[in-house]
Amino acid sequence: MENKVSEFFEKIKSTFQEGIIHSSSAQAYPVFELSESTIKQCLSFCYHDSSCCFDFLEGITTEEEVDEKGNSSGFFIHYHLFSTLFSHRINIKFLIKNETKAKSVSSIWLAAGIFEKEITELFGISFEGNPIDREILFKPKKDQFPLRKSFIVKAEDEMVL
Amino acid sequence: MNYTYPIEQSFVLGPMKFHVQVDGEKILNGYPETGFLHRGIEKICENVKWLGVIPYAERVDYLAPIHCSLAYVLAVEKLASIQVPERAQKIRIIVSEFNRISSHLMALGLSAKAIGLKTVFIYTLRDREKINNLFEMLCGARVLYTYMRIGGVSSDLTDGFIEKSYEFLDYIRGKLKEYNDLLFNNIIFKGRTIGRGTLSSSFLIASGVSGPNLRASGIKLDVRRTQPYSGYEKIEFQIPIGTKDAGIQGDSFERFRVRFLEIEQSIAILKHSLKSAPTGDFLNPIPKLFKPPVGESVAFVESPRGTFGVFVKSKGEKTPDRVKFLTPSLPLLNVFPKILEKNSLTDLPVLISSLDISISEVDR
Repeated sequence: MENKVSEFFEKIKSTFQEGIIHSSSAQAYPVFELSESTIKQCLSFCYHDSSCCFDFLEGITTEEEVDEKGNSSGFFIHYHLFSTLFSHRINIKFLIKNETKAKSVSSIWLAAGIFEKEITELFGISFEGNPIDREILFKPKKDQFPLRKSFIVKAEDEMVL
Repeated sequence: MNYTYPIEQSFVLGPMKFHVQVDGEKILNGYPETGFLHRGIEKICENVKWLGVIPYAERVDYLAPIHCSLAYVLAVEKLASIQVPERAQKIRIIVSEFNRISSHLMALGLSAKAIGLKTVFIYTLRDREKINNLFEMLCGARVLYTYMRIGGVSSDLTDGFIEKSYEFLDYIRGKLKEYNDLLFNNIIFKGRTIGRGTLSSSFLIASGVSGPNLRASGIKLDVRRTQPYSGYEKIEFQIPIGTKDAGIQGDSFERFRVRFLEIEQSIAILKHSLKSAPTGDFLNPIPKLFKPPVGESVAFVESPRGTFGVFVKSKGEKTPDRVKFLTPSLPLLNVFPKILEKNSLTDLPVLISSLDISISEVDR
């Protein structure tokens, strides 16, 4: 298992060396932070390359980065990938700065559509090319996205919920 | 003609609507409407202390609360490099497998009810009640346990628990033969499930579906084997997969059968774990004001519905910065249009219940 991890870890590292901002392979769970411009190319590589074969998307996580004053500095989007052939995992993430748009990866993994739609409702990040047009959880109110750090749950909101 | 199934259906675990377009009895297309059970659990988790997340994590899937809280504590333990005593690990396996049997019994019961075999549903509830009694004996709770702790479990196995567990395992082994006759040798059950709602493994992998639904299509994928946790690597057990013996690989019948066979495997795991539980501590206590180091981690477990993951991020404070639940039921929404297409309207309850979707996992 360790050998397989180091094999695809090194391959991704050498292929996208200019786009990689940070990488780690602690606890047999490699994490790559990439620049926004290389992310889709890298995800496509992870799916198609024979030493990676990440054919299974386990989920997409989004988290908001805030500075010391509490102002938003962007959103991290994590792709949790798994290979059904080699049974190895990887986390590929990138930071969206100063905007709320990203490219959909539903053309690579069908599963991505539903995960991205959920992020759109909870964080207000729209995914270009996402095929799902109906709501999954709720129709968000204008500029009110519950998982953003700026969204504070007030007592009257709790009553409505 | 368009038809909408009402929000509460007995064959689904939670509120959900189905919109279908039909031509006579034939479904042309259909899609689910969810969001009626959204509680904002991930937002709440950002406002409670690290230990306080456990009860909320359990509510992500109220039929497999042990697996939800286990995935969370594993992620935190990984982040803070906390060692878990061997006895605690064994206890975690024991409660996980009891919870898996309980969840699978409910799934089998609901599917039988969807077909009209209500007796089986009553039988599964009766047997599930015995597991609830065991949990009550262990931690005082019957449905949502809050038994997991960061560093172990909340209490040791109580006096008489092991004996009562063996009693239950002998009892349920006998009952499995009865379930086998009532369901898998039943001509009505076979007629309603064999060849219905067949899903290919390649479609399920692309859709992000895991667990018994994927294994029924012939893929031997189980987190307990691929990336073992809590000492599963030391236990011998089989991973049941769908075959072509009885029907078609990946159909509703195989999905039910895989869950049934998994109960047998859980019994084997339980017998091994109960026999080999070592003596020692059940908890490696953490400081009262627990603040894990800055960083992030992910942990996955095999829940009764598939691969269940938890992502946690810490900024070194007393509350988590982000907790994300990667649930196996959410990707099942991708499957609905495909499984309903070209099937009869009367088959809809059977097809949906064969997926064993938990709406509380979808909505969170």
